[in-house]
Amino acid sequence: MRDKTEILITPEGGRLRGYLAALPAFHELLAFLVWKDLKVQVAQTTLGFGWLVLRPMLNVLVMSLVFGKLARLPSDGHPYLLFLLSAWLPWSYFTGVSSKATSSLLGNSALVTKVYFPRLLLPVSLVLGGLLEFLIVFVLFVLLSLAMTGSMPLAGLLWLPLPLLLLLLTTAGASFWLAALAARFRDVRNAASYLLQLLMFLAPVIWPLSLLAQRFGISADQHWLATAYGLYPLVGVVEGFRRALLGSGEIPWQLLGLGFVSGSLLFISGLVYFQRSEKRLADEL
Amino acid sequence: MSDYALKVEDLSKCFRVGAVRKGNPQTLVAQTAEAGLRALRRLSGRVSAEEKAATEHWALRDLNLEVKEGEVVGVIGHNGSGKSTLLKILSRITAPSTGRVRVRGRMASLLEVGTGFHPDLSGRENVFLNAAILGLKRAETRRRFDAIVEFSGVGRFIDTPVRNYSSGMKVRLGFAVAAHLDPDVLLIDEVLAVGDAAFQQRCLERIEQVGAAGRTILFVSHQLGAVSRLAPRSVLLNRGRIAFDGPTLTAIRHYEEHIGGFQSQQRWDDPAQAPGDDCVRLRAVQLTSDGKPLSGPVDVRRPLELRLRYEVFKAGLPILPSLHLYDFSGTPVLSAIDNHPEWHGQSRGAGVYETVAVFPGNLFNEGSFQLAVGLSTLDPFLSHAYVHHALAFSLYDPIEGDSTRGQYRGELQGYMRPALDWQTARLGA
Repeated sequence: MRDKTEILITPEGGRLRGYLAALPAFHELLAFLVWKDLKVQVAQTTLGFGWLVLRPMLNVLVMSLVFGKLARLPSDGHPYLLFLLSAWLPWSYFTGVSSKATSSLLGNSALVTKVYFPRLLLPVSLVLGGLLEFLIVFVLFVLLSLAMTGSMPLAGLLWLPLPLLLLLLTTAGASFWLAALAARFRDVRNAASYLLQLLMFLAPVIWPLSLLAQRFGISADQHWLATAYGLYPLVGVVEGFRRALLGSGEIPWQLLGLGFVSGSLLFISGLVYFQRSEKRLADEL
Repeated sequence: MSDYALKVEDLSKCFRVGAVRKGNPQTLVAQTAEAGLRALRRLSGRVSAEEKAATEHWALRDLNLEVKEGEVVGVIGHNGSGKSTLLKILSRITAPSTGRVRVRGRMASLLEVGTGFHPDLSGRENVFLNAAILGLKRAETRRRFDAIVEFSGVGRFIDTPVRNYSSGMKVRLGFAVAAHLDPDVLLIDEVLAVGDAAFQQRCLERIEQVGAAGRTILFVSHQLGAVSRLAPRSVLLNRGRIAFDGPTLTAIRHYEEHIGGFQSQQRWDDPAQAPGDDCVRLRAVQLTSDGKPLSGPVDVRRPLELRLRYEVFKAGLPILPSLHLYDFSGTPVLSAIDNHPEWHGQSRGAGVYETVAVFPGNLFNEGSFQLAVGLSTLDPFLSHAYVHHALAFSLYDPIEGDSTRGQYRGELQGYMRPALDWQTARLGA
C-alpha cells in the first residue's frame, strides 16, 4: 500500500502555510517549468540560444549611444557603457521577469484550466529561469569591464549578494502581484509595460544617483524625500549593483535597508494575494 | 464507512451571471465602479432577493456523494446539469462556493480535449510535464513512457510539438498518460467523444483494467452504453442536484424517462416553418399505441404506431416516407422505408397525406429510443425533409410472464426482443 495523503478541497483555499508546505513536493515540476520556459524562448528561432546573448547586448548598446553619447547623461566618471550595464544587469532581470510573469497565468491557460498544480510555480519558475539571462549579462559585464578598464573590482563582489537578494525578493513580489492581477483585470497587461518603463526612469538606471543631489539639493542621507525614495526597493538594488560592480563608493546601507523593508512587504503581500486569487483563476481565464 | 476514496459534502458552486467571462473581460475601472455600487447598495440594504437570484446561477447545489476505494462511478445528466463543474471542482481547477471534498491519494483528471498539454512542447515533453504535475518522479515516468506512447498510437510524432497534433491525437496521448500514471483516483470527462471507434474500445478496456486494479474512477459521459458497461453505479445530475444515485441501469432509465426529451408528437402548424421544401413538407409526427396517444413509457407487448402527416405541393412525385430508429446514445437500431405497393414508386397528386407505420408488440427490448423521420424521392434520390430528433419514447416490461422474456427477470441485452417461433420436440426418452 502506498501512503495516501488526503486532499481537502474547500472554498477558501486553505491556509497560506499549508499552501507553501505543499510546494516542495512539486520541485520536479518547477524544474520542468523553468526548463520549458527557456526552451520555448529558444525554440523556433534560428539563433536560438544566441538571442539570450544578443538581446541584452543590443539593448545596452543602443541605450548607451542614445543616453551616453547623444544626451550626454553624467556617469560619475565611469565609461557610460559600463555605468549603464552595471545597472542594466539587475534592471533587465526585474523587467524581463515581471513582464513575463504578467502573462504567465493568461499564457498558460491551457494548463491552468485543465489540470491542477500550485499556480505559484508559474511565476516562481520565471524568477528562477530569468537567472540564466542574468548570468549571461553578468559575464558580459565582466568581459567588457576587463576590455575597457583592464580590471574588474573584486571587493564589491563580496557584498553583491545583498542587492541580489533584494532584487530577487522585489522581482518575485512584483511578479506575484502582476500575474494574479493580470488574470483578473485584462488592463493590467497593457498597463504593466508602461509601468515598468516608468519605473526604470524613476530608478537611477540611466542616470547617476548623484544627480538628485546636484539638481535638487537632496542629499541622500538627510532629506525625508531621500528616505521616501529609498523605499522604492529598486533604488537600493540598482545603486547597490552599480557601486559593487564599478567598485565605487560604499555599501548603500540606508538604501538597501529601506529597500528590504518595502521589498519584503511587496513579497509577502504578493504571496498572500496570489494564493487568495488562485482558487478563482479557472473561472476568470 | 471510512474506506472512501472521495467524499463530497454539501458541495455547491455558484457562478455570478454576467461576471468575468472569457471574451468579456471587464476593465479594472468598470469592475471597481461596479464593486463600489454594489457595496453602497448593500450598505443601504437595497439588494432585493430577485436581483440576487437573477445574477446567481447555481451550477451545483448541496451535493453529497461518497465513492469507495476501487469503485467505478458514472456521472450522467443533461448538458448544464453540473457534471463538468463537479469534475472541475474535484480536480481542483475551480473552487467550490460552499461545502468541501476529501480525496484520498493521488488524483489524475482528463478533462475535455487538450487535457493540459502545452502546445509549444513536444508530445514527449508533455508526457513528462503531465507526470510532474501529477507528482510522479522522472524515473517513474521514464519507466512507463514506452507503454504510454504505445497505447496512444502517436508513434513517430512523439517529438513533434503538440500544437501540430490533431485533436484525436491529443486526446489519445492525454488518455494514455492519465491511464498509465497509476493514480488512486481517476476523473474522466467526455474523452470518448473524440477518437475513432477502435481507440474508444481500447480506452474502455483500459478503464476496465484500471478499475479492476482497485483504482477509483469517476466517469462522465453522454455515451450511456459506455457508462453502463464500466460503472455498476451511477449518479444522475439534474440542475445541479443529484436526482438519482444507484445502479447504473436504473439511473439511465431515470435519465431517459424523466430528464431525457421524451416526446410523443410534434406539429408544424406554419407551413413556412415546417421541415421540407417546395415539393413536400411535414405537418405532424405522432406516436400512438393501439391508436391512443402516449402518456409515458409504453408496454413492450403493445404495438406502436408512427403517424406521419405531410403535405405534397408538387404533383407527380413518388414520395417515399422513411423512419430511422436510434438508441439514446445515437447508435442506429434500424431504418425502414414505406414499401407498400400501392404507393411505393408511384406518383402522387398534391394534397395532405397520412402514412402510418406499425411496430408490432413484442418487437423491441426495453429501453429508450429516438426516432428520425424523412421524406424523399427516388430517381434521382432527393431528401426533401428530414427531422433527426423527431420523437423519443421508452419501452418497459411489467414482467407479467407473457412477454418474450417469459419468467426471466434479469437483464436482456440488445435492441430487439422479437417474438420468435420456438419449437421443441422430444426426440426420445
